Amino acid sequence: MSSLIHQASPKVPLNWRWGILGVVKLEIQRSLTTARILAWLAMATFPVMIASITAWQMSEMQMSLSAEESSFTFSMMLYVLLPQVVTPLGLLLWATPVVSSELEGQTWIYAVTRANGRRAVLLGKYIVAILWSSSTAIVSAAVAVPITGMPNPLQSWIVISCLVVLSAFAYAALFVLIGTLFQRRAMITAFIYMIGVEAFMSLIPATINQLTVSYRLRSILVHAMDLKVSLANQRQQWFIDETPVWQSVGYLGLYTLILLGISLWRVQASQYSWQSEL
Amino acid sequence: MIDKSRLTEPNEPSDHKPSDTDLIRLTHVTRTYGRVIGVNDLDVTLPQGAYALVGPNGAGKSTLIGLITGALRPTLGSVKVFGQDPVGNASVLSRIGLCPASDILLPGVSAVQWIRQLLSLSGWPPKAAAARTFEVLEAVGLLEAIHRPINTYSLGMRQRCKLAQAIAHDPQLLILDEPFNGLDPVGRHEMTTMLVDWAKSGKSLLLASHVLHEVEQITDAFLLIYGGRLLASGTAGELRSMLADLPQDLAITCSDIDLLASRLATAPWLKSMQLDREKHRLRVSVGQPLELYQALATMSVEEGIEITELAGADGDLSSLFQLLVSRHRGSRTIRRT
Repeated sequence: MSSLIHQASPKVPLNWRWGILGVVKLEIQRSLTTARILAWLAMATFPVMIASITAWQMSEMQMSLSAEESSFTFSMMLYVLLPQVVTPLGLLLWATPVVSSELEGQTWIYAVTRANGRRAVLLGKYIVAILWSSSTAIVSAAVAVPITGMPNPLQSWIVISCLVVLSAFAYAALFVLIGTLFQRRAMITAFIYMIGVEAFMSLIPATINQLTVSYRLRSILVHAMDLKVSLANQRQQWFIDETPVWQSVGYLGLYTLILLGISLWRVQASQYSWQSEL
Repeated sequence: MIDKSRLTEPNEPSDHKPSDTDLIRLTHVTRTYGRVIGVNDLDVTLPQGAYALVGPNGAGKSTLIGLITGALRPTLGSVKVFGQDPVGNASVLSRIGLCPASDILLPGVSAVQWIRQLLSLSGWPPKAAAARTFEVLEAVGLLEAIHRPINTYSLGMRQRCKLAQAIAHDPQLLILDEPFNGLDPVGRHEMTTMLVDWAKSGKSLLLASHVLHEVEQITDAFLLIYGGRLLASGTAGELRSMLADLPQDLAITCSDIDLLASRLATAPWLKSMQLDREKHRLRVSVGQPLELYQALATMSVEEGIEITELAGADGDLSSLFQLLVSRHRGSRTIRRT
């Protein structure tokens, strides 16, 4: 044991970005357990099953939809199931416990006493949460879209996948922020926020719903899929933004950056307690 | 090895001027957790060297370590490590290696994965981190178990794993919080040898423990902490010299124990006396030890009593520590004269 301390230290160029890569690598390795793989499969299968049952029932009832109606119905269904349910659910499991899992594992002290440990852990876990959740939904969409018989399946899959990625970036930033603010019950807080704000507030016909991620994703979906929604109808204007897609994407990017910035500041300034601190 | 003359007393003005080469400088540092005081008005400067932070559980050792490693901010006062504020300071943190007291509870993660990740958090590129991980795990004797999940390790193996991550990035200051916990006698010996070598190599060491005899073998520079306050600091000898002015219990072994007992019985400074004829030992509790020492010298010359041993009641620093603690509860901080 003693021989080690006399060895010359290896001269290596140090870079804080390696920390993010290290966290990503370890978290991916940790995700390859039977339980987590099964969770990934279950979440990917769920929208496929719903799409299959819906398509089968429609054929049983001999409902014939026009291309426009089919596109609208299944786009909305997959939009709700994938960027609005499956992706946030995956993020709840991965992004929300960004700090609490470290505290429970008593490994937070190791992170905060490393040169760039705090931000590397946060950003690394943020990236893994996005990779895990968006991969689930994108694979699920790849199977579900052809089953529904939507016109232009490739374009539909690309649009849904882009929405999944945008949803993952934005909601992961939101959940990471909640995780840095609440050491305990972060997951419950995030869930309540999703129900209260993203599900209900985004449907309130008032300007306040424009602050939600759902509102922006909905608008991108309608424009990108060229769904026939009459924007002349004033009631529908409350639910869908008339602005071009790039503006909605820009809004989501800004939303993500602001929340992630606050999370980084919070985690850098935090003094989370660990077990034997006294 | 350590310039003991530069060690300042707690809460006592010192001639030593603060400099950037100081290892640690605490300036009236207080840290509270709501209404609970973690550490209280710590004011001490430590030059580079090896130190033992000694105190019972709950004394404030881990809080002090949290402050030094930048994991905690002081509520009052300032903390400087290598002349800089350690909180979020990459240049300071890259020079500190911490082996905390808390156990590792990472399910499914092997030692090699964990240490490689921690090296990456210190900015090490993947190849160098991988090579260094094997070096340190071999050094702590875990090479055969590196791919096993840490949660399947014994407590001693986890301790060695924690030590490996602490020294992996080649820090200048190694901080260990209760490093002997869970180690078997062989492991304790190896740990002690390694820490002695570490101190001899010129690198700095801060070792927190509540077991005095273990740390006495590694360093003779002590910081005694209790109730969040630094009770005393100095070498073992200096700390013992404090006893000269303080009431204490002593054990005396001599050639004629009955004669010694009869002579001491009338001394006004004697509080109590206990005779052990089988061991030729007299245990005395005295209010002014210097008076006792003088009387023993006189009796040795005039009465021909041969004093063969004079020691603290239990023969090690624990008596000093207990004394300081009892004094702290009822009086102010101990200061060396």
